[in-house]
Amino acid sequence: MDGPGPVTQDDTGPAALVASLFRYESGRLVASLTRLFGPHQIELAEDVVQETLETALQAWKFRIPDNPRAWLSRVARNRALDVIRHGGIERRYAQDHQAMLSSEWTLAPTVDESLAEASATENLLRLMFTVCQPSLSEETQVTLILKFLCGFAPSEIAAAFLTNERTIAKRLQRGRAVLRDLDCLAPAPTADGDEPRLDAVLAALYLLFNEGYHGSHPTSPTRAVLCEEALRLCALLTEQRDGAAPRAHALMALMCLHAARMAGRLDAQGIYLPLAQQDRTLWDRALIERGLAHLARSASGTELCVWHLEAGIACQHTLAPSLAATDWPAIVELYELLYARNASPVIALNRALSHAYAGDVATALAEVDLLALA
Amino acid sequence: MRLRIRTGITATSEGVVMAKFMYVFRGGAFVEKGLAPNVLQEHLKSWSVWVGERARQGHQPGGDPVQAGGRTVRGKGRVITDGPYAELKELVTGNLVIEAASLDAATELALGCPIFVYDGSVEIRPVAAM
Repeated sequence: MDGPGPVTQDDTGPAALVASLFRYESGRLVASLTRLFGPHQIELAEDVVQETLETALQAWKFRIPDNPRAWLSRVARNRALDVIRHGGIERRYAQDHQAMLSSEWTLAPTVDESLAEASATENLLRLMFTVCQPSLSEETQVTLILKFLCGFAPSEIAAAFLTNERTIAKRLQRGRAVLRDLDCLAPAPTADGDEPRLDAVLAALYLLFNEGYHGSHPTSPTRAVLCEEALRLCALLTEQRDGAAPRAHALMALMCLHAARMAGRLDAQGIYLPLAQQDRTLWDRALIERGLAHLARSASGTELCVWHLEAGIACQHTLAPSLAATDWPAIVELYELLYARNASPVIALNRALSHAYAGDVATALAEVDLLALA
Repeated sequence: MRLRIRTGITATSEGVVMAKFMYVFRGGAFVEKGLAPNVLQEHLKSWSVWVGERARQGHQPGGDPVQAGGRTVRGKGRVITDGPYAELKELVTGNLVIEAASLDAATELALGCPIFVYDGSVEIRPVAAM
């Protein structure tokens, strides 16, 4: 630290931090430290991260450092070394790091490696796969993702889910109880998508996205953040060095193509507009491009999952110049395939609607009649 | 354009005599535990804005926040103890020296300080001119 002197602030205003930096860094550091401490000691990781952020708040009041992330890593590293050195020999760390953390020769390099920028994505993915435990409900998995990976406070999670803090506290408690029995993070996912848990992770991300996209308070900024978080976390999967499973790209495509149309969905009063009345020029071209790129990559294998089909439907809507010029027969076909996999009434209703738009009102009515009988 | 009359006091070209004042900060968010990342960042932003405003208005803020811990040396026997042993809300959390026309002006400037959001205090002391 420099000695006392004039506070350097230029005319453009105080050096600004990237929005949500503390939240993102909280997630990165909790993941990096949990890799070392083990999921059973995630509270210890959270404590170190909390102290790190509090130290930063105090130190940065008058001056933001040039590289805030490196600064935070350094403080967290030193604190982690202190914790481990004073932890005593009986303390159990992550089973896959225990030996390296037990010797002063390997301790610091091991901590450095886990906190390195290059390990960040892997650590976040491993933590995400760890919290998506089959014994936990999807809601609890998403709650743990928001708490640990996204740095949300329980009150913020409660607000996003339109529920109370007690419910969130209970979910966190259940999640922590399961983590207490785990002695190391789940392995990082591989490109072939063979992990049985990949589907649980994708389902949790989809729930997170939907909570933001179809929630009952579409204008609330908290909810838009949920969509952003789902996209950010899914991108960790799709941007892995060794590539990702085609169905991860399919989910990414689906979320991009939906998110791209977010701006046109509401009128000036925040009321939902029917698709026919939406101003298609408001749709986000960059996100559409991104969605199409992922859709192309999702076709690289032989698998066809629900995300592929849903992304295909979203793609037809996004590319159509108007409601009338939409390729409804193609959408009917996609809904048929979707219904074959999941015979839900919502899909059946959507299939009937697309029959009607495709001009086949008789089939549409017959399908609605069947629904009414069911 | 500043004309230095003597240490601690300067006059601007408009003829306003500026004196130095030290803000001693106590307590505040730093001693408040368990604030969420978003809340911490928002609070940090309000500090950056407040200090940035003082700089832009020519009050020449300079100083440092201080971290927890440290030592105290006390008495003829130079007894060294760890920590400042202050009540958390009385813990010194930093100082800032600014230039202002008067104690009243310096007090006025302090009123907007974000430290009050978390029950902190600002002591405003005129810096002795030599």
